[in-house]
Amino acid sequence: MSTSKKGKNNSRIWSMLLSLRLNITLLIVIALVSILGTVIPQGDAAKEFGMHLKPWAFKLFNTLGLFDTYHSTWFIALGAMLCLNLIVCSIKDFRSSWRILKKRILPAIPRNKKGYSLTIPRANTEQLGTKIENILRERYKRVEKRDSEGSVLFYGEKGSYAKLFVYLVHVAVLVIVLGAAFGTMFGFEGYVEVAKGQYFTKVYTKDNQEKDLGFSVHCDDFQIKYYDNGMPKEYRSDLSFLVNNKVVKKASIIVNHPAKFMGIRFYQSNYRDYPEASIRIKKNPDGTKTVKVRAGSVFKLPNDETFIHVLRVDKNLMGMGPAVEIGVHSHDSWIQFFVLEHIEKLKERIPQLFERFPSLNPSSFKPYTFYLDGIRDKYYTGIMANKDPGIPVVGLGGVIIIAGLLLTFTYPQKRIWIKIARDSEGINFTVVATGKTGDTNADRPIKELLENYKGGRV
Amino acid sequence: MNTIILSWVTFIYLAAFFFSILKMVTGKEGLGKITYFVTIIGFTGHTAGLILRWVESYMLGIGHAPMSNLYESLVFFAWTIVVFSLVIERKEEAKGLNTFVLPVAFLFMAYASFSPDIDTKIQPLIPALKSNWLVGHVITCFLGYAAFVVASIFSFIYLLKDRKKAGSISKGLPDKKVLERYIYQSVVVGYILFSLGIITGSVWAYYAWGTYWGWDPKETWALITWLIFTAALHSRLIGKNRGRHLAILTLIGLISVFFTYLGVNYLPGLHSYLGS
Repeated sequence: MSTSKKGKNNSRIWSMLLSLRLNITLLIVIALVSILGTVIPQGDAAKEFGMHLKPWAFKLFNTLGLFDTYHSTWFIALGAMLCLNLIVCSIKDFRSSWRILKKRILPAIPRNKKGYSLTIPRANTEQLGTKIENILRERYKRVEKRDSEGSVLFYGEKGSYAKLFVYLVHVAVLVIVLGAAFGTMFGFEGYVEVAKGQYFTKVYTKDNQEKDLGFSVHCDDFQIKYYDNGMPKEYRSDLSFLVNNKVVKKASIIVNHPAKFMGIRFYQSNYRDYPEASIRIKKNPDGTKTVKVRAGSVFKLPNDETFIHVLRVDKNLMGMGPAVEIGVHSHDSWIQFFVLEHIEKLKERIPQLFERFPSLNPSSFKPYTFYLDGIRDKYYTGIMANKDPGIPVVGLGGVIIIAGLLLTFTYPQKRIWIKIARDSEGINFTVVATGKTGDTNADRPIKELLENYKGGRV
Repeated sequence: MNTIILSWVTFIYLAAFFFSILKMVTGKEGLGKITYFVTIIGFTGHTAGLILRWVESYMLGIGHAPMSNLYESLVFFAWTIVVFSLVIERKEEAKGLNTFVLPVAFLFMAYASFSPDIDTKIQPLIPALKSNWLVGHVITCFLGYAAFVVASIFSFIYLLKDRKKAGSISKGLPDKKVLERYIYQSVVVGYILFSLGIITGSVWAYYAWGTYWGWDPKETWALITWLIFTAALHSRLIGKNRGRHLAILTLIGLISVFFTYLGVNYLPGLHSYLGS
């Protein structure tokens, strides 16, 4: 081997080492930084956490994207670097593997393997060589013998194409990443809360953007079933899908059993109870009006510039029973008071109630009087509506990765090198064997042969 | 009934552990056979306990595989470790390694059976767990975890032997070359099973939560574990000290496995039902 070729070879090996080292470094770095996002609250939970932080810390976390670690630029950049490294390493490695396989090049003895070495002072290399070759032919598919100046090299291999299966795994990883990127770009994850009898035509993404579905979904029913011990057993939403006000499809969704309509999947996600209060408003002599509200509702009094804000709906306010706290916003004034369902009973029990607790007076905003006719649970089913066109790609990647892993690690492959050369003490035999899982046994038959020969038993 | 059987199993494993220590100290072959026999008895009881628990859940009208809460997962984890322990016991070269595997199975069973924080009652399944993917996902993940635990035990022994002054403990144990091979084989088995576990989990998540990957802490820790073992497998391709690197990365992987399994119960996320 000429010096220049050797130098080139060295630099090639060096660059391979370099990129493999980079690969391992990247794997570990990504593993480490991934921990951040499991410790720091992410997404919605980050909002509350962020409020407890000192302003400088908040700014720092926010700038670094630590409230959404896995979508931050630097995290994606690390992932992209890993993918790039994977591509470069795989192409380079694949080409050399393929060339060796195609050209039936005899691969060099791996340098990082120590192997077995034995020197026999006097040996009939001719006879031993035939014996070695016979042993190899029995155990290996491809057996070669190379003579060069002063030395003989025997080589045996079996299942060499198994070396290529690992690239299936590498390709699969890239396929999954591509599918995920494709899904993120062209899909969406939406969420909506809807009560029985209501409908929706759009959903809301995590960053609060509206997504128009292009059809409407009616919630025919929502039910929760419980086990005897009180644990929840099933959440079920019965949905109707309407196009142009015509029911096209009906489906019930429960957790683990979504429904699909026009490429969008609907999942039973959770539910929420927003107690609904029935408030009666009386104004003499105009009569009464009843409204149904929940916490957060705002409504206008008839023929008036007055807005009523429902601040709180409480099924039992400090042991006094059902109550609603409202704020009345009229022109520039703001009055805040409670409307209790059992206000009459309370008035009988506690003399001068309104003088002592003016905020309990339902007539605080004259000339109106507010009555609470009751509060009942109103369940809203939480539905996720997702579209992910990357799914088939990711699924394909998943199948390939498993097939690739099984083939890579279970397909038998082995190689052996036996070098016979003369040294100062006689004839030296070097045996190096590699296999998929180790190499302690593969060289045993040759070892036995040589040791027996040396011991004079052959 | 099943919990009584399973708590007895704990002590059978303890007995098997003692026999294996005796074997190690005295070197008598007969004790090795006794160890194997006692382990088999424990394993039979363990399996029977799990099946009985499964049957009992159906008699309660809330039938499901015994893999739904912390108690059941610990018992199943111990079961998977014993599966590997039995495989190792049959390998001629690996004699002696079981002495280190058995106590781990014992500790899991003891913690599951006797810790006051763990509820051993059969609970009905919450809606999120009612899926055909439960069994496949849990079995692959836990077999994967168990293989990683076994690989870590080998790595620990490897590093003990790797010190300049290898103590008396390493006598009678396989040499480093054999250990390295066993570490690698266990990591490979764990890697395939754990990859399957992640993929079955993704498919399940797709049906349950609407997304195959949501960066939930448990998912993220599973990825971290997977990345570390990916690095461990690739570390064999470079450097001179391959065995040592593999062993060190495997032990780091073990920490990650425990975070994936238990640590995330203390973090907010969708998988937190395991905490009950």
